[in-house]
Amino acid sequence: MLNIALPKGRLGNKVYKLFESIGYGCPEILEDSRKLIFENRENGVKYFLVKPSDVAIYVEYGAADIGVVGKDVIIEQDPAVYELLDLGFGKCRVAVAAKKDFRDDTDRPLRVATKFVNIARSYYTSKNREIEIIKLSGSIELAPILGLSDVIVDIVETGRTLVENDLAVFEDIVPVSARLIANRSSSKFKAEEINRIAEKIGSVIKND
Amino acid sequence: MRRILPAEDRLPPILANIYEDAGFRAYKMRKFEEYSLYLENRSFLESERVITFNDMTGRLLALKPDVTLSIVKNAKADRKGCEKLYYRESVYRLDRKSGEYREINQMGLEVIGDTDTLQTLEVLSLAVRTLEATGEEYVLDVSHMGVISAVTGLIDGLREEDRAQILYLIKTKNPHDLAALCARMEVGEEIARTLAVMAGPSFGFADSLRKLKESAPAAAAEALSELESIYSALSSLGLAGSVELDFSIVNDTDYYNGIIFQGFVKGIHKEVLSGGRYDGLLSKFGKKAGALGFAVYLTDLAPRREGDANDCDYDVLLRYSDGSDPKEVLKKAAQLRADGSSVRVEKEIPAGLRFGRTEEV
Repeated sequence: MLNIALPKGRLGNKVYKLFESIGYGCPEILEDSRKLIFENRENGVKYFLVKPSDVAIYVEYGAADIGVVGKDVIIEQDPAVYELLDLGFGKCRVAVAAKKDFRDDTDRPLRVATKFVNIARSYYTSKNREIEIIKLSGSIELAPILGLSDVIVDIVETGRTLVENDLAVFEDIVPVSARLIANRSSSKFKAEEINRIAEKIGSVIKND
Repeated sequence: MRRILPAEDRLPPILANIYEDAGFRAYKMRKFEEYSLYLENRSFLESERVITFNDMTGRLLALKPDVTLSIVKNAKADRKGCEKLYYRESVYRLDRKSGEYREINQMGLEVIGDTDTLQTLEVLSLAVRTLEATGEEYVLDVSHMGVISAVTGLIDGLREEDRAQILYLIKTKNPHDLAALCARMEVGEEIARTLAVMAGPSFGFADSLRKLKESAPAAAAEALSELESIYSALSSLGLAGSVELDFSIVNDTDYYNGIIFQGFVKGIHKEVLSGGRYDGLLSKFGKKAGALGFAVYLTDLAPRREGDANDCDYDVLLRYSDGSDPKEVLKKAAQLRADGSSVRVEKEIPAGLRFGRTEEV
């Protein structure tokens, strides 16, 4: 039995479709229910739906053998897992954004609102810029509008949310896409199953 | 009822016998060392954070985060023979994730001195036997830092941060980002292909090695042939069944220069055994000798299995009252225990415990 952690929400549905297309279906998962675990004994797979930012934790601790997670989460959490494939979708980037008329005043520390504390810290450390981090969990765009922070470090997909709130991207930090990750120990003891899945998914996304 | 001892209690005597039979001597040390030892060898440690305190004279001491440093510092090291030591010690390390200090119960061994191929093989076979002793399905992953050093050494003008990134991507088996990095650095095709194989999936020792030999540059030949001869020797000793070639084990190249290895046990999410050749550490201590060894993390070997739902804590709850004759109660308890039952004697039913049955006197 292979345990697979999927991120809840839009990305999760897309990822599930991908697994279904290579023969690891479990149709129950598409029904609108409150269930969190879905099992298909014939295919030997069990899916868990977890918060996207928790996928890497489930995989690192072996509760799930494999999972799909955004590269942003991997960089932020630096989990001890194997990253087997770049799935090439869920593409976006982590970027620095601010109000359109923002000018950096280097006389004082830069106030950065973000949920990516580690990414923000290492980015500004590499630029030798002193910052003050304000950790938020959502609606990051509000922070510069209300004067809570000078800039934000956040995921930018199309940039529409930013435009609608009179914000603009100032610097890109790192490109992001969905990645297939695997637990290190499971990769040894379920090597055949995991390699087979990675290979099949690899050839599907290559042909896309 | 016979309790199954946790690995932490069950394994040490078994392992001590294995190591003693192989000619290793038990080595006991204090729980703390001078802090400067760890300060000078920061990058040898998993984390720089150690628990420190002052003694009466103001000297700064630290609770041991590592055993190998203490052994190397005190070992008589030369190329004339070998010191062979084993130990069972607690180390105190900061857990990167939780931010808490953990006490890890370790058992391990070190060979310091003339560490030739034979000694390397002996340490590897003891690592295999250590994993076997856990009674679980296991894998011993073997790698060679010389291969990584040789391949990255061929990249012209490699910046330190790019080198660290290459090691990180091999460690996380990430061939796609590694290919992108190679393209950005305009690395030659031969090197890029070799790195891709090293970061790719493992297909059994012999196949993985063959694949690597096809693409690897000549500079890596020496390290690869050492891997090959070690694998063939382990095979002929019948010990290679669960030995794999896996480059995702990466250690600090300043200290580790040869064979490195990690052991995994089924059902435990991270490695439980870790070791290798660390001649680099000895040269930092000004000692002209080789060194290799490994440690097994007994604390992490704790089984994660759920207990049987019908399991009870004690077989019998023997209840007595104020009027009971203590002699009679204890006699009854002794009788039940003689029959092989575990017996808890209480007046009231204790909360939170489960019993097979209850008897009253």
